[in-house]
Amino acid sequence: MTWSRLYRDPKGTLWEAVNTRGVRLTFYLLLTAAMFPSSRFILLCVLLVTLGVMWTRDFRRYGSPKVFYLAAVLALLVVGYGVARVNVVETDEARLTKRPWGDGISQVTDGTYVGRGQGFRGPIEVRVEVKNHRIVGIEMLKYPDLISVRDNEVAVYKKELLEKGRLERPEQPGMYRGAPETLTGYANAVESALSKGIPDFPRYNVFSEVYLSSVIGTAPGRVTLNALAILFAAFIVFEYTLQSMLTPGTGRSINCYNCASCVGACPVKEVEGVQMPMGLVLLTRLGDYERVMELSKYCVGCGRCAAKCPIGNSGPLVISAAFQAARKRKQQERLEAREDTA
Amino acid sequence: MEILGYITLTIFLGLMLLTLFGYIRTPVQTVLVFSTLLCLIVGAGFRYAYSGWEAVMLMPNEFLGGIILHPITALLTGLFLAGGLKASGGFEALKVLLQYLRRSPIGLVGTLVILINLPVISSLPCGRILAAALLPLLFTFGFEGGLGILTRTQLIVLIGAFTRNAMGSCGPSPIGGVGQIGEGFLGSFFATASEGILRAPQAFSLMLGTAIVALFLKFVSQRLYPDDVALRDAPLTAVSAGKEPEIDAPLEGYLALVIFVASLLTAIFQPFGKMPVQSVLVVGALLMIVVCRIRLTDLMEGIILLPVTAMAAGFLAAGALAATGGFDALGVILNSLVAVPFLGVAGMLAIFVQFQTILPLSCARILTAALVPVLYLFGPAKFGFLDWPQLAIVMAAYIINATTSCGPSPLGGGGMMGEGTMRAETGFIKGAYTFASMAIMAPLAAIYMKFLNLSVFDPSNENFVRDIVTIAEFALVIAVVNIAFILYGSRLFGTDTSRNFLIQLVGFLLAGALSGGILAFALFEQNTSAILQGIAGGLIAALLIALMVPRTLSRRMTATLSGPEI
Repeated sequence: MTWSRLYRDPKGTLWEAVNTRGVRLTFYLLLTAAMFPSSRFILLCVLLVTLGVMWTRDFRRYGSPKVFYLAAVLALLVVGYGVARVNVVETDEARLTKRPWGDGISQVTDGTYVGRGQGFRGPIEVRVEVKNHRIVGIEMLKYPDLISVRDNEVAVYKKELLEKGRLERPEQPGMYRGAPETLTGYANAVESALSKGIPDFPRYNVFSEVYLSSVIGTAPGRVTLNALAILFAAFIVFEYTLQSMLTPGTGRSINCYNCASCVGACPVKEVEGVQMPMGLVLLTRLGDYERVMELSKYCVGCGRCAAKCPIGNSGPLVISAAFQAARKRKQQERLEAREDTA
Repeated sequence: MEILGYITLTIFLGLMLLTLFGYIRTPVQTVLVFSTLLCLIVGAGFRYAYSGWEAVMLMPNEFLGGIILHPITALLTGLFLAGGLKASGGFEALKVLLQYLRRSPIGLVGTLVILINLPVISSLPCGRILAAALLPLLFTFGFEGGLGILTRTQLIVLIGAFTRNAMGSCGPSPIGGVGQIGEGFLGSFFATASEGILRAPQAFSLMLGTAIVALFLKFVSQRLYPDDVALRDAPLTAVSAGKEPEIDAPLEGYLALVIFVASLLTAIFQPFGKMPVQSVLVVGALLMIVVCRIRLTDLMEGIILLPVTAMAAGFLAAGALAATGGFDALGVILNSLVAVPFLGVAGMLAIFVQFQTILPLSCARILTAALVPVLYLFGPAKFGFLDWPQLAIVMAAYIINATTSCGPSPLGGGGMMGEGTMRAETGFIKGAYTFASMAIMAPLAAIYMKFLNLSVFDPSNENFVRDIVTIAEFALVIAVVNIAFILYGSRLFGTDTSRNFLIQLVGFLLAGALSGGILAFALFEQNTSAILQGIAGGLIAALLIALMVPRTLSRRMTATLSGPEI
């Protein structure tokens, strides 16, 4: 796929992109990163390592320079992180004297402020009202965590804050699952709101905020890793199913029961470690059409498998579909090679 | 509105039966999704007419709320790990280890026994994984496979028993097994149920059931269908067995096997603290990618879509039935069965437990996902027919019967892999598999759960040793009686297929009665009327099961396969 082709034939090029497994996998990666901030850093590492391995191989085989571009991007990311980090450290140091905790409430001017903190399951958002340098009201705007924590722990903490009129560290109870994280997130949300009421409160610069939220996201934890593991398996299976949906004539291979009744009927039964013709159907489902073509020479085309298969799959049927798909793919590759040469 | 439940239940069961009898030639999952849509459309129409638009808008929540993601994702990741094992040559390594075992003092017979029970030992989330890897190896033991160690009859028994064991091993699997659906429901009373309350009863009954299948295949199936297996024996002129082919396994295969076992043990015993099984399995699979240098495509090759889609489709159908009152209707029907004097609760349960053997679909998960919630409602949650321990007993019997139902299914069930390998007609193994599920596995699982498993989960029980002896006694009685049925029944077979079928039917009825009686005893102990009701229920279930076993098989394929042109 080249930029000139995208310009000439946008629809065709996009359809081709949809049909390319690498593009689809990258799309799943980006989708996960967009919807799941705490996974961004891990996914970035995965993307960089994968591209690094692939492009190093391309460099060694064909002398492709892509790996150097990747190295440049990596260097930029590192430099960007360094710049952002310097700003974060400086700002945090400057904030030490301007924090709204305890007596720091005296710096907060009267008004109503909104702030956010990270809870157990997601962001907690609160609106805090300050009058005469005292917290007089706290309203929960967004709360994704356990109701039992909100009704028992957060309610008590909120009452304590309103009685004292200032922000104090919460006690960390262990009664409910995720309660410490929720309470910390709630306190951070109140702190974030109060900070907005402090004149000249040091802020991170725009670059640092954008860089850290888009590239690093929020800190990954065990929950992130577990969720990513499950998502990984789900995406791969979805991808695996999609392959035969996108390739004309191979859609029925999705339905293969792996029952091997076709193997019993086939006079060939097994070649090169592949059960015939069930193996052909499964390879078609994977999109490995070249391998299907290689093995197709063993098929005698008797069609007994079709008579046995409970859903009507057959070796000759998938071979013919795989042949069409492989030929189309090769034509495409030849066309691209010609364009590159030109 | 009650009528709506009956309509949707009829739609669901009607479509399932039409598929089973071959009137609908579409994958079961598609039929299930179609049934879901149909039920929802009918349900929406009724709700709109009776309660207005807002009631219709509540339907998506009610219908999707039934989907339990855990077993689906655990199954996915389990298949993923198995795919890695296959791609890296792990099964080749296993074959090499089995070869060493054959040369050890336990010899060929001991090795074959271990091989047959390997599926339940490894307990993968779908029996097809191991069956696909090892059935070709079993085939090599015969004359056509090259080794010529076993005769045709022995090979049929070996392949049939192995496939039986495999197509039930998804029950006790801790990584997305069918039993986990039941364990989830039992968890509402037994705090540690999800750690495997159903695992041991299933594994125990599966092992004994496998042995009965082997006997049935040898003494009954081969006499009933003598010309329906195209395997050939060594010709008389053959002097000695063929030279044994050397199996080489790559180093990566051994490494993958180690990673596989380590992942499985970590997932089961959780030595590094609580974490989802899925995470452990994916980490294992990724480790295989790195250590054994396999490609993502190779990993994906091991994924068998059928159980995953079957489970998802089963949950969808269950959700649609729940949202439209189908389960309530089923509850009312079963309640009316309870009111029948000769059935009662025990008789109704004896039929319910055998439901999936009566209606075997390509994957047990389809109906299990739909029917386990119904079974749960028999307990204290709604109808109150059973208390919690009794519910656990019925659940154990139901789940083992359900998990083994993919074996005899003619809709692309796992048993067809065995039939394919032994070059048999579709339906050859059905009698053996359904007999074992009905007569051996369900009552044994119930007895095991009653006398041992519940005690293990209740540490204060002082009668531990006595209970083990009781289980041994029951197992012995059940096994001896059924072996006697098989051995003496098979002697009565002649050349008349109708007479043979009738003899088999009588055998099924006797075994069904015994099974129902034992199930009733496990539930209600020495309550004579309950035991009689259980026997009546068992008889009805056995009759339905036996009538589904084919009288003769199609000889069309056998004729072409064994013809001179091959």
